[in-house]
Amino acid sequence: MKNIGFKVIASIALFGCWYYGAQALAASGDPTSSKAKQDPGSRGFIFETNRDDIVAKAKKEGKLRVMSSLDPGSFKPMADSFKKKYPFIDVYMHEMTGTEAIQRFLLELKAGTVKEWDVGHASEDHYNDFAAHAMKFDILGMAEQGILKINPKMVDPDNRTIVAMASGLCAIAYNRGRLAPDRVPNQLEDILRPEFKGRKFVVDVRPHCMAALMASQGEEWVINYARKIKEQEPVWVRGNTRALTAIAVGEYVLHQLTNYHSCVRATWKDKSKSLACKVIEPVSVRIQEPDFVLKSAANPYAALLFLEHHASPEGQKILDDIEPLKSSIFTQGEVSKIVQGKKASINDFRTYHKTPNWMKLILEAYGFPKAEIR
Amino acid sequence: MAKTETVARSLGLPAWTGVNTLRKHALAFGITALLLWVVAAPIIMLVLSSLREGNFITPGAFTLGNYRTVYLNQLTYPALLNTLIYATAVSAISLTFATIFAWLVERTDMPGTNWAWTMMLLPLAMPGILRSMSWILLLSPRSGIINIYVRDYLSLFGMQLETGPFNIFTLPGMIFVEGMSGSTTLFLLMVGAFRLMDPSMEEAAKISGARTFTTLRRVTLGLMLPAVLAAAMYAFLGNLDDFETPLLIGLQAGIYLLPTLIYFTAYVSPSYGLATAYSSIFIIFTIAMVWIYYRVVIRRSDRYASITGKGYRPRRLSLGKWRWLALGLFIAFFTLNIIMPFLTLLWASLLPSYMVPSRAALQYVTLDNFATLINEPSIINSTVNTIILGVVTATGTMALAYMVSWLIVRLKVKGGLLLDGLAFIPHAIPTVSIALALIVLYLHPAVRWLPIYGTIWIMMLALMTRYIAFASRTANSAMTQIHGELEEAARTSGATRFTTLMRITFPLLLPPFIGGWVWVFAHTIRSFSIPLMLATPGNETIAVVMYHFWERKADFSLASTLGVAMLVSVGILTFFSRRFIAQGFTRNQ
Repeated sequence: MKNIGFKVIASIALFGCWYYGAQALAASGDPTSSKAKQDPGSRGFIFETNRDDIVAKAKKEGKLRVMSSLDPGSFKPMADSFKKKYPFIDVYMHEMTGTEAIQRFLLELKAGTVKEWDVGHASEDHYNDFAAHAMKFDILGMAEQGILKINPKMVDPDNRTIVAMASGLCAIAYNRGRLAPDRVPNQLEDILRPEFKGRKFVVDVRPHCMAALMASQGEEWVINYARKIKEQEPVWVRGNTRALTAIAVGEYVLHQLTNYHSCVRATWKDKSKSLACKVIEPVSVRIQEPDFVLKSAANPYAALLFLEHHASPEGQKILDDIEPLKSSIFTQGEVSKIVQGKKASINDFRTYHKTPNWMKLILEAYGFPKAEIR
Repeated sequence: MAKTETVARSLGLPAWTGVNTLRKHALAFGITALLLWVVAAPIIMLVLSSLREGNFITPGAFTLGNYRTVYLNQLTYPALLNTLIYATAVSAISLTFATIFAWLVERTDMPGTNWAWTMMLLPLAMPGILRSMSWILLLSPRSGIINIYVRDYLSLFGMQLETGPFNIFTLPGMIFVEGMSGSTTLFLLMVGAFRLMDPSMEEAAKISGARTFTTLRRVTLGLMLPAVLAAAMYAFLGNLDDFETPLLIGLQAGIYLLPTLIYFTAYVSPSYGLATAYSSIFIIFTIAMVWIYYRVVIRRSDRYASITGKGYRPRRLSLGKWRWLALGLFIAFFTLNIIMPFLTLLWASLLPSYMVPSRAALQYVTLDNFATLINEPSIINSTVNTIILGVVTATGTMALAYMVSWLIVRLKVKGGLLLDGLAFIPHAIPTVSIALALIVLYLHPAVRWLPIYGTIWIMMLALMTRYIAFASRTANSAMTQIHGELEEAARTSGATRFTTLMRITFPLLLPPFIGGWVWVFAHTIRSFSIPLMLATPGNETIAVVMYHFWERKADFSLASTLGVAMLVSVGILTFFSRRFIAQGFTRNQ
């Protein structure tokens, strides 16, 4: 009897070990995931080891509220394609853009009044302030382990929580009627040719595109280039609406560097076909739309899935088709195809935090701020 | 009464702490508290911000470094000098046009004054950025429409020009654009006073042999000094911190004003402390102006009162044969000020993207932009929000301004200069600072329970702060026109203070009140920065749609379409409000 009793107890114990062991293994997914959990860099972060768990938790949440800096025209396609994958999640997207709205949102975050949003946008002007309000999901770790299908290069390696969904590609814009094909610049130095001296081209005083060049060209090269641009006596402008309209009607010949997507969108509507855009080398590219799951999110797992969807080929195609041409340089989208084979300077997460200071240096090289008695 | 004051004294407190004294001054305290509620937060925020390192979001240590940097900066003084030249010239042009047309419309028999009134208000509906853009498209050296037509005409005489002859990208170009557009505001600041003026003094001058021009110069303008001075100071200070034209035209022209310097300081390389320290320059000018106005006008307001108990009969001066010339002058002004920019916007709104007008371009004319505007998902909601915001802001601002003015001009309360200064200083505070101050205030745990943050009310408060300066100028100049005799007579006849206010004072002040109301309403609906900053999901206004078209889509045609729609809407509104004002005027007669 004693033997029988021992066998029963041993069998139960063995069954128990097998059962709980199997459960534990199932929960951990593949063994590499648990290894990532031990990564010293991810200590204190939330690390989901199984994608199915994320989906299950998101299903329980059932809804998602996104504060986005995308063009609102992208909202419906983005939400529809997300809903196609996750029909059990109700999505609402709202636009947050412009310095003013960004400042307001940050002050709300600091006051702790933001309860109704799950995904937020980290503007470059206050990037670190926003990063402090991100939920500590180890998105980088989960991306590296393939739990979330996001290219790890799209994730900030320092805080591991912010994903740059898009890219800003810069190009020259010019008037076909006023600039013969053989005179169109092929590289940035071409703009320094004597024929462009004396109010022949426009330069934006918000130098995002120039700042991105510092990532690979170095500060010295870009500052020297900015000084040479100033010596060309360009026309200083602020904003694309004014500049692209002026070039389209032939007031000016050339825009030194502008947002490629704005230029392409303007050419779509330009019936005179006089406006043209051209990507020249070194190509200036910068990461854009850095999004994150808010610390105060009521639906954090649905938010994780949304970030993953945004970074997926379907999400990136929407950025290319509607924004347009703003897919991440780190995906197989249109931007990486345009840049492929060209010398490029990419202002990514390694250098992104330097952007405000770089812009200041460039402005100083341009000679701003300035004042002279007229 | 005596008992409570005795008690107060026995407690070692001043007599005014007595309950009845408090009751007596309750209205004055109440109005002052209301004014402080609206303006104090932005003023305090501005001062604190200028004394700190960092920015509004992450303020640093206290410092005087910002002021040192501003006042020791070599760039400050050339920029200030340019700004003073610009502001003086623009104000002079605006004031001249506004005075002439206020006089013609209200004091003379110029034909079509009802229409003229409506037309004077139309520029209010055009967002500044679109107005500047229209003039760029009209007067750009190479592609400006006017330049192209003038060059074509000159070529008939063998004169071949490649660019010009006009160039908007010059200091005179900037002054021209702002000088024309600024006249509407000044017209509204003065027109009420012109209307309330008793013509018996003009008639006396005529009987004494004075000519029309002499009467205008020596009598009419003399009586109008409060209104003209109020308009002049408002114009000058407004033009000192004018932002859109210096950035859109001045930057290209290479003309750098103080607002351009602030732009580079605050936005391009963010340093809000420095930017707000720059604003202190505007505040110094503001305080100086308020002091002058108080000394010259408010303290001697009886001298300018033309509506007295002795009789009030507004009558128009006959211009004789000059009346048609006056109409011609008005039409020329109106064509330049509104027709040409409006036609440019209309043309742009009918094209997929802007093209210089030509026969070839006609084939692309389409109503697609209007369809896009109608189909914009947020357009209906934002239009409704904008109208509600416009109505509550205009009513609240004008009501507060008239109450404050009543304290200062009529009751001549102690500290009137301070009150008037408080009502005017917000004119010198950057819009962004006003909005940020209100966010910080209403997000504070101590006041978060108030149902203000995240509603339309916070936008209303911010816009009231922004426009109280204009409203108080209108109220002051109108109030100084009415002598206290009328109210005293009513009180002597047994009317209560409230009856006197409603039956005597308010009907007399109704026309300038409505004029000011229309101005605040129009500025509210076209206001850009405050709604963009304070609108939370669900209470967005038209400004958000405009931002989307202009900044996000970089689409001038779509932005123009919205501009055209706003202009037509405000045109209709002003036309009907003109009829309303006209009725009020007739009743007074």
